[in-house]
Amino acid sequence: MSFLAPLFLLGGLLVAVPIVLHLTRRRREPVPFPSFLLLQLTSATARFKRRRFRNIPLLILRCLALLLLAAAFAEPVLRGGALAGSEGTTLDRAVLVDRSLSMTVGNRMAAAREAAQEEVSGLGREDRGIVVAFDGRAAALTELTGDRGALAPAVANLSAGGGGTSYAPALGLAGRLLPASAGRRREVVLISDLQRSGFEDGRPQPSLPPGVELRVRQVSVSPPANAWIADVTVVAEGREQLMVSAEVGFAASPATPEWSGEIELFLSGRSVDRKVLTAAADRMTTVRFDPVLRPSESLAAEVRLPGDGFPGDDRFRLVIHPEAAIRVADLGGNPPSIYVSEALGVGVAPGFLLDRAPARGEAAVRGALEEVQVALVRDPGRLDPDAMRALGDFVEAGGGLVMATGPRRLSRAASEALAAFAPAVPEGFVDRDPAGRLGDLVPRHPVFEPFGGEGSALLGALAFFRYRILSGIRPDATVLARFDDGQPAIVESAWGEGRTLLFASSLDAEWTDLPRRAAFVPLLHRMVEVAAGHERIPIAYRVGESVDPGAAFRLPSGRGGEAEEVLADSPSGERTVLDGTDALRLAEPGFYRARRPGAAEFRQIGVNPPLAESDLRSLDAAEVRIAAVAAAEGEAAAASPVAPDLPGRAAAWLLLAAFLLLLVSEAWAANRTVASRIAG
Amino acid sequence: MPAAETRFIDPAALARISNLSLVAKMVVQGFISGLHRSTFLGRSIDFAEHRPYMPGDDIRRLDWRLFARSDRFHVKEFEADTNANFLVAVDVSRSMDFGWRGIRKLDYARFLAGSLATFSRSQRDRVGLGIFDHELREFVPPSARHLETVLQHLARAIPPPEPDARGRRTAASDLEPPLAQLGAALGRRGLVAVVSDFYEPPEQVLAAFDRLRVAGHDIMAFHVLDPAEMDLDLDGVAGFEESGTRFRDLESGALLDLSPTRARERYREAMAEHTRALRAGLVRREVDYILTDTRTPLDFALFRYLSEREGRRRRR
Repeated sequence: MSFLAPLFLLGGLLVAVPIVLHLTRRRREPVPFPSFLLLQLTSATARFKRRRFRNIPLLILRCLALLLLAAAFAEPVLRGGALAGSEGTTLDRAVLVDRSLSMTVGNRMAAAREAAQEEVSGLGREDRGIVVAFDGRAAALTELTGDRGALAPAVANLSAGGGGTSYAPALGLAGRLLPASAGRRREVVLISDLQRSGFEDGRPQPSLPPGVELRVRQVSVSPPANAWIADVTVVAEGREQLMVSAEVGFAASPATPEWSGEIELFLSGRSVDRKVLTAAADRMTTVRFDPVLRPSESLAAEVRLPGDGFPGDDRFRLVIHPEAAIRVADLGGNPPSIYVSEALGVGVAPGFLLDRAPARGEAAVRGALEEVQVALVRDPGRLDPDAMRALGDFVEAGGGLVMATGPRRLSRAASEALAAFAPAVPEGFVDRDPAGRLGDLVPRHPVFEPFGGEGSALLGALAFFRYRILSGIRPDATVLARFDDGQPAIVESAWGEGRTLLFASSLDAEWTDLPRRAAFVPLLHRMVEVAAGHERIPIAYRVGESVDPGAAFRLPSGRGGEAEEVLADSPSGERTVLDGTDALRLAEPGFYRARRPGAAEFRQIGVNPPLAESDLRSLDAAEVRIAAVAAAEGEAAAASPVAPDLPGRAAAWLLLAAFLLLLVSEAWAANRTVASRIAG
Repeated sequence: MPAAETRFIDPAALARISNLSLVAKMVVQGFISGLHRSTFLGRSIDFAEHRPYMPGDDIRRLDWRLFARSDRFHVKEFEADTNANFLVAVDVSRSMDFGWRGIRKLDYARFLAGSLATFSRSQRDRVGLGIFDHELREFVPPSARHLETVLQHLARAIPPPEPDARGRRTAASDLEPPLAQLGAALGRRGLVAVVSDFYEPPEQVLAAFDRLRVAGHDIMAFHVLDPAEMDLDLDGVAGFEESGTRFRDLESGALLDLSPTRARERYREAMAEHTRALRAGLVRREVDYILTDTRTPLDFALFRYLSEREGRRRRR
């Protein structure tokens, strides 16, 4: 038998109440009697042993009722086999110890070690045990053995790491490590802070094989107040500066409803700015640091919060790279578009630099395009054929082109020049009333990456009142999106070394509400980046991710483009040698360093704790038990209908029924006692 | 003890009357009216005077000769036949401060003593009072004018304070010293009625009475007990359980755990032996012994008293 919520067993201590009452009610005033002269003559034979308790049957009833109530709330799970005595008395026990980052809070890890030692030392002579440590992953620290001398040191050496929490791998591994064998009972003891995020949707749901009992020992109940850095972004601030901003979350506790402190930005280990921050409970607060100069080389940066109840998530590490902003030339950008200039004025580093360029004259256009990576055309009707040809050469040479349509119609010559390199040519208008909508997107295309999941609704909500028909779509072009009438909306094609994205509607607000919608900025950013061939490389990583070391560390390619070994050092100094195809698993927070063999210079990346670890809310042990056992119970019931497990709810209801029965009996007995006293 | 008859007044009813003098008069008047059917007349032979007939007067005391002369009914008054001293000694020790399902023994003793004094005074005796526990606390010498004083002292008689927390004996009854003091204080021979629960070994009680007897007094012993203490039946008292009860001695404060169920038979035997020894020893000493419980009507006790007194006169 095990309990889903063993903490409720503490309720059994309530039996002290009736015991004390039955003792204290005994303390009555003695009965006055005139004289003991004659009474003492009888005392030799008539003295009695003074009972400590009064109405012992009633006391037993009351104590039993309370114990039943506590047991019912603890939700016992009775194994059918155990009831029938078919399972042996020997035990195989897997002790799963949580070593995720959240176990660094307070004395959770020490408590977990202590609990694990209890479980190990509680094994009988014929029993066997195995110690499994887990965070996002699970690893057996010992073999399944009856040698406690092998188990105890493994427990003693346990320490919390920087990983996230996931219960499924641990429970799955434990289930596999406990082989089913006749005459042996199998038990898994989960020792954890039961962090809720370990069971969040999207993660594999934990389950145990049928016949394996699960006991949960929670080492912490109430989480402390915690402030954490959820994310740090670096955006371009003009040509020379970057702005670092941090998102800070705060989870309050009853004792600390609000948090206030200084948040500090470090570059290369040197404090460069600090801000005073007041964070409200359960809200994200954004802090913007003063702009810093765009570095000339990769720079390790760190944002720090003052220590709190959970210091593990008070630092965010990132690397700022020296790359320049993507330069964009707005051909025929006069008058300038405030929407475009504002949208490209912000952006995750390296950011964008927007220049206006002429729309006529081949030489002028070529000159304007010499220093830029992307040409932006908002109304191709403004371009003369020479400019269009220069644009084609620019694309062929590796430049990127983002072209929208506008009110001016292309001349025949310009259309022909455009058709030579562009995926399609804009033709006549289509007016829509009601407005047309975007649909039929190419999933997982980099252009739509910011709109994954719920973000796709942002694109679907856009209204298009007018757009041009794109004709002459090249066979090698890809229609990335269509309007709801089937007309192409965004078409992409490659030409030479370059890439062109053609948008059938306008980037201004006359034909569509796109520029006024939230989707505009990320969509334009992604279109420009895709046209420029810019690959976004994260500025920071999370523990648990696996990365391609060459790309993540921006290591120079091997000779001849062949895969070459990478030497990677973890923050704790552990070195890993990876061949060209190995991924590097990031196992701890801090700065990882890597280099090619023979290279003197290390490149580094910032690795941070899993964001979910900052959510210290915990589950009830019963929830874990139910989640983990439910599947197993279903399988067990199917496999062994004769001796099904008695799940916690059923046993609890039985106990509650017994409790009510006892309550009625108690009331009857108590009334009878009182009635007899009155009658007497 | 014969069962109380309905013409007697319930002591519990008397207990609701706070005026002891009134109680005593009610008892005595009721008792005297009852004597009309009694064989005990209590008359004197020395004529004193005539007085008009009052309802309730014995018609045999009518002076028919005077009726023949005056055509009016008059009864003859006689001089008191004894004009003796009567002193009632009341035990007010803490053991008397006990009563269950009736009145306290002390109240009963006060009513009884008051009634005896009132009745004796109606018999032209000089009445006095002694109040004692382990010593004589109050003493009113017998006098023809002391009835009201006796009644007032009786009304104020209270038991001594509770024993202290250490159970030190404070005021248990001890008959010998107070009775010896009484014997010495009473200059003239007389009738002494001692009202007590006699919670002492019988030999000590008898020794105490001997101190009175040597002074030549006639003695009556009223042994007052509560029915509950006669049978060790305290059912209904808070804390009392047949299976086991903690008792507290009213006199010493001592505690005793006892099973009444197991002790009751033995206790009754001890009580019977105690009263038997008292009765036998007192009868040998020509002391009238009257055992009464607090349910017994007071006028019944008076009846017993008068019966004993008449018997004594006849024996003389």
